[in-house]
Amino acid sequence: MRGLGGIDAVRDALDDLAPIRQAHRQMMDTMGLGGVLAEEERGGLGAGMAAIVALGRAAGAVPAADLLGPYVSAPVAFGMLVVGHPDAGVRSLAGDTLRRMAEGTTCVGTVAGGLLFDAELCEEVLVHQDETIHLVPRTELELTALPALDPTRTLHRVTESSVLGAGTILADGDMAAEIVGASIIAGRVYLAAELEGVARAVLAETVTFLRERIAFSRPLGSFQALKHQLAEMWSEVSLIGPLVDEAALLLDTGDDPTEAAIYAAAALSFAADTATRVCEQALQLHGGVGYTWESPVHIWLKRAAADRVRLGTPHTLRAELAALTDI
Amino acid sequence: MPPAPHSASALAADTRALLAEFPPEEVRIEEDRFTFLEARYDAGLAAVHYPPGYGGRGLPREHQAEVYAILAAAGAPDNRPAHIIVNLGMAGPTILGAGTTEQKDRFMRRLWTGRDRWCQLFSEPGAGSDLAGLSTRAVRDGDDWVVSGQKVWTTLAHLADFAILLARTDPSVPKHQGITYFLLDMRSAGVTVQPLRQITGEAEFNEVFLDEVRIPDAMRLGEEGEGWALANLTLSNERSGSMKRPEREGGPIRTLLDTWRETPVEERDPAYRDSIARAWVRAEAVRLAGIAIHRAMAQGDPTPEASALKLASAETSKAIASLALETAEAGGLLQPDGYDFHQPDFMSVDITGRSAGYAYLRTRANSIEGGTSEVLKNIIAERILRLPREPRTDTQVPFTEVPR
Repeated sequence: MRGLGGIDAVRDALDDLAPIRQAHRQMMDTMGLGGVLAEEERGGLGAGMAAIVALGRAAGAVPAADLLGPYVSAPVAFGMLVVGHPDAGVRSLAGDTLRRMAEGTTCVGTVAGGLLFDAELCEEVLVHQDETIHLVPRTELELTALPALDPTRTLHRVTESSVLGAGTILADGDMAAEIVGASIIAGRVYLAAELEGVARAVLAETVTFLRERIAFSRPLGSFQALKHQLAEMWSEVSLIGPLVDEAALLLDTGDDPTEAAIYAAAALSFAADTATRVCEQALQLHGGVGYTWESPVHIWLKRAAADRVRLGTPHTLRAELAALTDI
Repeated sequence: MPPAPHSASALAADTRALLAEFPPEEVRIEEDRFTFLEARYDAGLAAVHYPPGYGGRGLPREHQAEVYAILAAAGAPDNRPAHIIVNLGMAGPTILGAGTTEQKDRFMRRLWTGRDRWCQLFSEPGAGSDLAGLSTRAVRDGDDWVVSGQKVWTTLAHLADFAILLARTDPSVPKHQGITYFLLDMRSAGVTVQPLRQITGEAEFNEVFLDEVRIPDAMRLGEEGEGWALANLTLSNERSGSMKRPEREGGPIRTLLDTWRETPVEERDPAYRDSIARAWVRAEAVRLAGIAIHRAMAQGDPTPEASALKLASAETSKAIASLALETAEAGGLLQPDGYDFHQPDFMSVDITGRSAGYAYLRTRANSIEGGTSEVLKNIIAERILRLPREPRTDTQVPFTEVPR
C-alpha cells in the first residue's frame, strides 16, 4: 500500500478516492489476498488469522478500501458453508465463490445492520437479514448513499425489501447465527489489528513531526512534557499486539471458541479505545497543523472512530467479555 | 565437573541423571538443599545461558524451560528466586559480564545457590533517578579503597553477605565518568544497616551507612571509572529480571476479582462492571506483552522494550489495586495485614493473594522502584522513539562543579 503512494496519496485524493480504492483492491487481488483464509484445495493460501492480522496492521497504516467484508467476513462465511451446509448445491456454490475470491475474479461485500461499505467495489453481497443469509448480486440491491464519517470508504444503506427474492438464500436459523457469530469474532480480530496499524502509523508520524518541528529554538520533541506523552502513547500501543496475537492464535487453533470470543472482545475493545485516543492526542500534539485537512492525522482519526463502532463498541465488547469471564 | 555439552539435546538426560544421583526425596534439611543446588550448578543446569563452568552451558535462555519442567515434576528444591532477587537479577549477570576469573570462581556458585545473599548499594538519599549524581566516595589507600557515604532503598541488606556498590573514585571528571563498581563484604568494619520503614508498616528496605569501609582493590569490578556502564548493565537486568512468566488473573486483579465474584452475578453493581472488565483487559494485555518480551529476550540481551513494559505494568497494577480497594470488604476501610513493624526475608513483588489494603499500599511503589515511570518514559522517548534529549548542564563539567 505504501507502493501505491501511502498516506500522502490517500490524503491528496480524499475528494475522490475511488481510483485509489480500486488500485488497492486490484493489488490485493493480484497478491491472492482474497484467499488468505480459504483452504489451499480451494485455491486459497490457508494462511489463517495470523496472516489476516498482518494484513490488518498494514491496512491500518494506509486506510483506504474496506477489507473487512471481502477479505475476512465473506471468506469465513463461505468457509463454513462449504464444509457444513447440508445442501450439496450450497456447498458447491460456496466452494466456487471461495475459489473466485482467491483468484480475484469476484469481490463479496457483507451487510450487517443494513450497511454496506465500498458497494461500488463489490460484485456480490452477503446480506444477513431476518436471521437469514442471502447472497445477492450487488446490482440487484437498492442502495442509498450515506455521508460517511470515514471519508476513505463509501457507505450505503441497503433497502431490506430489495434483498428478498433477489439472490440465493445460503443459510438460516442456527446455521446462519453460527456463521454470523464466527464472522463477527474473526472480524473483531481483524479490526483490532487494523486499529493497531492505525495507532502505530499515527504515532510514528507524530514522532517524526515533533522531531523536525522547531519552536522556542529547540525541536518540540526535546521537551519532556511532549516526550512523556509520546512515551505513554507508545506504551499503550505496544499492548495492543499481544492481545491481537493471542486472539488470532486461539482462532487458528480452534479448540476453544469461548476463549477466542473473550480475547477477540478484549483485543478490539482495547485497540479501539487506544487507537482513538492516540489519534486524538496526535492531533493535539500537531497543534494547528493537526486540525487541517492537509495533515494526514484526521484520516487515521476517522478510520479509528469508524472501526470503534463497527462490530461492537468498547463498552458493549466489555459487557460481552464480562459475561464470559464471570465479571 | 563434567564437560558441559553445548547441545540442548543432552539437557533432559543430564537433568534426569542429576535427579538420579541426588534424589529430591532425600532432601531433608537446608544443607541437603544446598548440596542438591551445588550439584545442579556443577552439572551446568543452574541457568543454561550462563557460561560453561559457571552453572550453565552457553545455550539460549529458552532451553531452561525444559530443565525447569523436569526438575519441577520431580519435586526438586529450587534456589528460592524470590529470596535472592539481587543475586540472580543484578549481581550475577554483572559479575558474569565483567568479573575477573577469580571473582567469578569465588562468587558465582554461592551466589546462584543462595548460600551468599547479595544486596545492591546504588541509590542514595541525594541520588535516585539521577543515580549518576551519587556522592559516596572511594579513596585509594595502598591495596585498598576507603569508602564513606550513605546508601538507601537497599532490599535485604539486613540479611546480606555481600553487596554490589557504586562509589565515586574521581570527582574531578564529569559525573558519569568518575564512578567505580565494587563488590563489598557486608561484614566489613564500618558497615551499618538500619531498616527503612515504608507505608505498609514493614521494612523491605534498609539504609546502609558506610564509614571508612576498607575494600580490597581485588574486589573492584571492571576498571576505575567504568562503574556507570556496569550499573546500566545491572539495571537493565533488574528491569527484565523482575518479570517472571505471570499467570492469568494473577497480581492485583486476583484480589479485585476474588471479592467481586463473592457477590452473586445478579447482585453485582453494574456501575463497576465496565471498569472491572476494563481492568481485566489491561491486566491481560500487560501479562501477554510480558510473555512476548520474555520469549523475545530468550534469544538475546535485555531490550529497551523490556524496560518500557515496566511502565505499563506498574501503572496498570496501581490502577487495578486502587479499584480493588474501592470495592473491597467494608468499603476498603480495612488493612487486614496491619501496620506492625517487621522485616520480611524476601521482597514481596508478587502480591497475588494479598489483601486489597496491602495491595493498594504496596503497589504505590511499583512506579518508583527499579526505575520511576518518569525515567522509563525518557527511556522510551529517547532510546525507542529516538526523540532528542533535553538540554543538560550537568554532563560535561567536573562533578565538583555540578549543583547538588
